[in-house]
Amino acid sequence: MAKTHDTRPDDPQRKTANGLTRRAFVKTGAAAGLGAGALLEPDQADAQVPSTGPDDIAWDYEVDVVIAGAGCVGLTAAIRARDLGASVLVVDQNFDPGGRMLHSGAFLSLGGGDPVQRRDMKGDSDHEGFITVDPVEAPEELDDSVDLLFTDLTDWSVLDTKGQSPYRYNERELARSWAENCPATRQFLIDNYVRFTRVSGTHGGGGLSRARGARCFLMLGDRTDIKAGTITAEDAGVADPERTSPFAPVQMNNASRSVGPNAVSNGVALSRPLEFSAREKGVEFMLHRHFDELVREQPFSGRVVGIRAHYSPRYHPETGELLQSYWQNGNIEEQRETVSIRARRAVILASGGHAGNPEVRSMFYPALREPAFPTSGYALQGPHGQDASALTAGLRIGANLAGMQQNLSYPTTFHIATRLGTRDAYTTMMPGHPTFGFRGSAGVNVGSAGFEEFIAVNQVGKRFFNEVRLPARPAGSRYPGGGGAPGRGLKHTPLDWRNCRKEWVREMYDYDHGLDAALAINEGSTPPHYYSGPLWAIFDQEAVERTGWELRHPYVSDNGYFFHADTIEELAETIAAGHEFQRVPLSYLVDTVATWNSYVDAGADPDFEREADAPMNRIATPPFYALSIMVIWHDSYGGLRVNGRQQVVDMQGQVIPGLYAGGEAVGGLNKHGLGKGHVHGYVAGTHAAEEQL
Amino acid sequence: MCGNTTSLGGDDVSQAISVCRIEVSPREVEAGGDLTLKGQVALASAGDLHGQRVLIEDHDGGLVTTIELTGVDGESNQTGEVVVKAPLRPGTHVWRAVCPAQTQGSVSHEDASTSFSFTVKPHATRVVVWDAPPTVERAKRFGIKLGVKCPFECRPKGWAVDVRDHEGQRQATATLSDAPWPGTDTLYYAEVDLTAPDAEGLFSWDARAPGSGAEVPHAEGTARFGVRVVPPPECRVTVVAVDAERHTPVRGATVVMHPYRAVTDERGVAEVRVPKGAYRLFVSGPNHVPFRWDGEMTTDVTIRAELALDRGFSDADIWS
Repeated sequence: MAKTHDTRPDDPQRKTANGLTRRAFVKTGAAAGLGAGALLEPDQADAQVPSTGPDDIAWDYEVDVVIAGAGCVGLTAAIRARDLGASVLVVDQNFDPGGRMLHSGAFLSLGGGDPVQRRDMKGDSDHEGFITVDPVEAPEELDDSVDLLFTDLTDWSVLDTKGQSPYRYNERELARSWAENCPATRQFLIDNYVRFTRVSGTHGGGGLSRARGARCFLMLGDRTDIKAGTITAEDAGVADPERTSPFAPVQMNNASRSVGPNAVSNGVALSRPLEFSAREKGVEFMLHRHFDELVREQPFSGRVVGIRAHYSPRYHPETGELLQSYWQNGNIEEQRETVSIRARRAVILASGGHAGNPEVRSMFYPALREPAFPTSGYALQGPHGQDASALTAGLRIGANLAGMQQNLSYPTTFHIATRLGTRDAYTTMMPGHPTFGFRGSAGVNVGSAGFEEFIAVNQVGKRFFNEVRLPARPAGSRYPGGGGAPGRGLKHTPLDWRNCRKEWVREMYDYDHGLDAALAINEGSTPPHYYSGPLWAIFDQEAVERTGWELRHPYVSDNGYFFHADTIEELAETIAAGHEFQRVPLSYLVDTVATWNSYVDAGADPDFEREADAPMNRIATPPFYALSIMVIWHDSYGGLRVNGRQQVVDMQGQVIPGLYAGGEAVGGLNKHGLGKGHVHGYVAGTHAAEEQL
Repeated sequence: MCGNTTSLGGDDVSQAISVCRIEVSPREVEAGGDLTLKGQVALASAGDLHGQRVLIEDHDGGLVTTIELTGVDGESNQTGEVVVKAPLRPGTHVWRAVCPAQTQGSVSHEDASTSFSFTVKPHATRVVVWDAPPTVERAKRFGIKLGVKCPFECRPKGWAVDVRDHEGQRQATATLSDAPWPGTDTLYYAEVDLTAPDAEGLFSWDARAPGSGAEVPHAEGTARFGVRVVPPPECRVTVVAVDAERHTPVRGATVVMHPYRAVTDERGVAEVRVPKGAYRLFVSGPNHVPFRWDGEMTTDVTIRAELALDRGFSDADIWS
């Protein structure tokens, strides 16, 4: 366990540390009784020069493996490297480990004949006997292999319903390595307190041939005990429908159908067990610490020998107190502005993607430079979440990129959320978690059907698309079909040219482009960015009575994402005055509503043909309401280029020694979600720990 | 901007030119609304008039307010901002700012004054019409509700509001209530009985609040609404809305056969009476995907609408 340096400032060992050889330094650290990490003094950090060798740098800490990011990649890699004997320090910009894994649905698609596929094929329960329901998928749907998985991941013939090719551009070595390591990673997760439900379906990008996805669960019980696999209803956020807990930022879901009675599921059942295991095994965490840059022996050559990271404290939105992680054993309290951390064996970049950085994501879709639209889970992650830190740091030392176009070849990288009235619209969150105040409201999930109850307008108050079609999402090409291949499930024939014959594509194409209309230039867009501005659902009291939407705390609040007024004119004025990204008045809103009401009376919407899809209702009965509609850029697919060992590769195709990366920090594997990250973490942790000292 | 004062010298006191300027915001303001004034007095010879006051006079010379000079910014003395109420009378108003004569040391300043103008607008009157029936038969009575709101603090209780038909003929005059419509802050309303035209079709009527008449002038406000006059029904359409999976009644579903509408009861049943003809039937929600049926209506019919539950997005969907 690392601890702060306990010697006095005038200790001769400390005075000489700046000029010690690498070996001598390590020896000094050991002599001082240090564990995995060692603290040096701030004045030593000041003397650092990025382009000099590691022995010339005043390191504040030194460990075998430094990991930037405590999410699905980072925690997995940390445990794996620790299991192999390495000392490990994980830095994370947030106050609590978990990244987006913590607020996720914990749907983990692996495969290749992994242990839960095999378990379900045999109809067995889990080893603790929690699972009491029958397998969801038939044995033949689970009969998988590494070769089949690899074939699926590199299938040139598959398109999705948006006409995109999810598999053909994948890096082949990366895909092979991923497939080969899926079974071991599943077992590794199980060995670290992660419990998996029955397998059901497959995640996007996980192939069309077999069922490969399972969720993670815990059992409701009298106490929260990761080893025992239990969680209290309070901690799970299921004791009160309008509250959650510091343990679970998102209320857990009922998993009884895929486990048995009293099972609950979501990212909490994945992230917390891994964090618990990591801490138990001696992984150290430096939280509130944003990874900034890599230290390489020479700017574009030599080993990566460490990182620099700055203090990124997050404070409670109501109390102003520094936010604290749920568990604190293994935490290193460090508040200096910048620290340098030496990695004796390797650095692993696990700090996520670029979905939270509008400037970077605009590389793929310039309209999404619009800062009004965040990435998912921004309240939990804070302003630095998914800010392209790994990409930025990697490029600075000569790393190459891969799969950048794959942001646009995954059907739901960005989409319109059905949860309205909150900026953090991807998932729900209830009061009880300390970051709830950053979003201020849980939001109102109106579902897809709810979009018929309002008109959607842009920042100037004009309709821009058929509202009913706005939330539609093109299906991903995954088992059991997802709409992308003519043969569904087991009938799918990999590598068959018929999968992409144009006649079939014409038949299956199913994308409405409402999202793109939402992002279009409008009368309120001004140079140089031509931001499209925020989107609003406009409706009346009669809609509230039809739907039963609960327009009260905690679902909505006075946070600038929900407004009501006696008249439409007043509603427009209130929005313009009260929303942080409303840059122009909604000048057209009154006319838009009047026109809409005339369309309702006429029974036809000549602008967007709404009459073909759903009833049209007048917006006439006061009071009138506005809920924000959010475009969510959820995740990233392009990123740093890595090889099959998760080593970062440079522009000349050479490995950058000592540098590994995984998950959304890397590109080249258009596989959605946690499954990609965990395997990357497992592979990276394995090889990083094996690096020679 | 306007300057004033000129003359020079006595034996031991010189006189200097000063210039007075007033910034007014906004240039157009609602009757009785807030006007923000800020003054500036520039002296030909530098001098600190801190503590002196600029007088603001209305068009009749009446004193509106005074603004204290609070500091020197380069060669000018600045006032703070002061907020005054605009006049109620709409139109262009010309006011005057006066910097009184004063002597500082050996320098004497005569009066300096400047005029400035702004425009007063009447308050807006916002009219809302709701609960107009989707259809009404020829010459039959029907009701609507209308409401009026002033965006400022006026409470239009007791105002008269006319309802005019598609030919501009007044069909009714309603008097607004003494209390606002439930759920609103200050939307005062009236319920109005009207008679439909004696011809079929969709007619555009309006509710018109004439404005003025009140203590504070108000602009006229108007809201249009549609009156659809339909022939007598010939077919009775009974819609039975059930959840497709559970086969339970769906209460509160919206049934639309444009222009006819109904809502299902606790049994999931709604009845719509329509003339013969081609229709598109929608049965929708709550929380269900709309059921659609297109067909010709020639006789009484019962339609079973099996509504698929809108499950939203599953975990796999959300995280995919």
